[in-house]
Amino acid sequence: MIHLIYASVETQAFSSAQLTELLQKARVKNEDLHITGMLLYSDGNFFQVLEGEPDSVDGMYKKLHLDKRHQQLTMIVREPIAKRYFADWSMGFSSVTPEELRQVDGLNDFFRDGSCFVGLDNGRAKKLLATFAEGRWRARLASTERP
Amino acid sequence: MSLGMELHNAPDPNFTFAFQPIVDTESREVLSYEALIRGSGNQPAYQILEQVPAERMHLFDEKARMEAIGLAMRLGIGCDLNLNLLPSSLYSSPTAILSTMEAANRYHLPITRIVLEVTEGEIIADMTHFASLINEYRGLGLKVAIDDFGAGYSGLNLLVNFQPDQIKLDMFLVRGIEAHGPRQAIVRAIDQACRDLGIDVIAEGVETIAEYEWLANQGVRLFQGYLFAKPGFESFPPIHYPECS
Repeated sequence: MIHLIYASVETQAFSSAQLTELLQKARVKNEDLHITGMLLYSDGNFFQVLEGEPDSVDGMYKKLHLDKRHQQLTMIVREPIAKRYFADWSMGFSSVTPEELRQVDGLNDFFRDGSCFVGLDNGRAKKLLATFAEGRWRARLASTERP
Repeated sequence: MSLGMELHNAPDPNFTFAFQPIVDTESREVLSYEALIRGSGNQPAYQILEQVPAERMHLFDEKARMEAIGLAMRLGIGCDLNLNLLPSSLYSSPTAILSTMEAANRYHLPITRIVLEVTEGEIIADMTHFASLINEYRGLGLKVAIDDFGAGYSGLNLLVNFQPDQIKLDMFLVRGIEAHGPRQAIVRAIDQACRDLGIDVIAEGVETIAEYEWLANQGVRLFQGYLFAKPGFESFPPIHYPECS
């Protein structure tokens, strides 16, 4: 089993209805392929963890390149893992404002009850999530001009 | 002759271990203990290793890890255990890591608590080969640290094809860092790259408050060195957490 963690940027602003639709479709597909993980969306930036068998995950990542709704896909890490970090989530999701992300202190509030981040142990996925929260891996910088 | 017999009958020098903690100075917890080879009278590692014939080194290396696990468990280890691995033994012996995992099972040490340390200089020669061999075991939860990071010619290049769980900053980079611009610039770059890739940075060989303060201000929180604890001979030594001025 592997996980593949990547970041990307939206091509056009997502509405919350579009995000919901994207998630629903992703969850159905992921369940078929036994892929678990999580997706974080913040001000036009995506950060996604995909975990599952190498063939499924690599195949999914390849398909994701064809999706015109995001661009600048950047693979951060692809490596073997001993267990799923997001075993209960066909795709955990959180949409947060850049302000909320900036306020994340040590990620403690971030891993609050009811989110898919509860119980995430101190492995690579959590560390990379923290770096994303700190503003790394966001090709699109937070802008105050956007409505 | 079985491998077990061969190991058993070997005329290896007597050896045991000292344990030195890797501490998290923010949470004040011990992350891990590194097992360091010593003679039965606390002789330094090199005096033991020089008695081992080159052709037996990989078997000795294997045996040392098994013994280290046994001793650490007898001492009641409750955190990770860092064990040294000669990458050459990984290439020459199919049981190099298997025997370590078997020992972990035998002593009831979870595999996820084991960190294998390999030095930068030893793996750079054949990074791809090393990565493919070690990744098989990482899938089982074994962690990997690159020791003496920044000592050789490779440095950050090493992280292109392989992202370990930890890197240990070479003590040459740590020594007198508070007053040395080039060392500071290089350590900042390594720290940044490791943060971006979710790799833990451990500052090794920290001996002075000034070195510690500079590194702590940079955001390093994992340390190993005399300032915190000397290696404890067959024991887990007391730890001192220095106060920043």
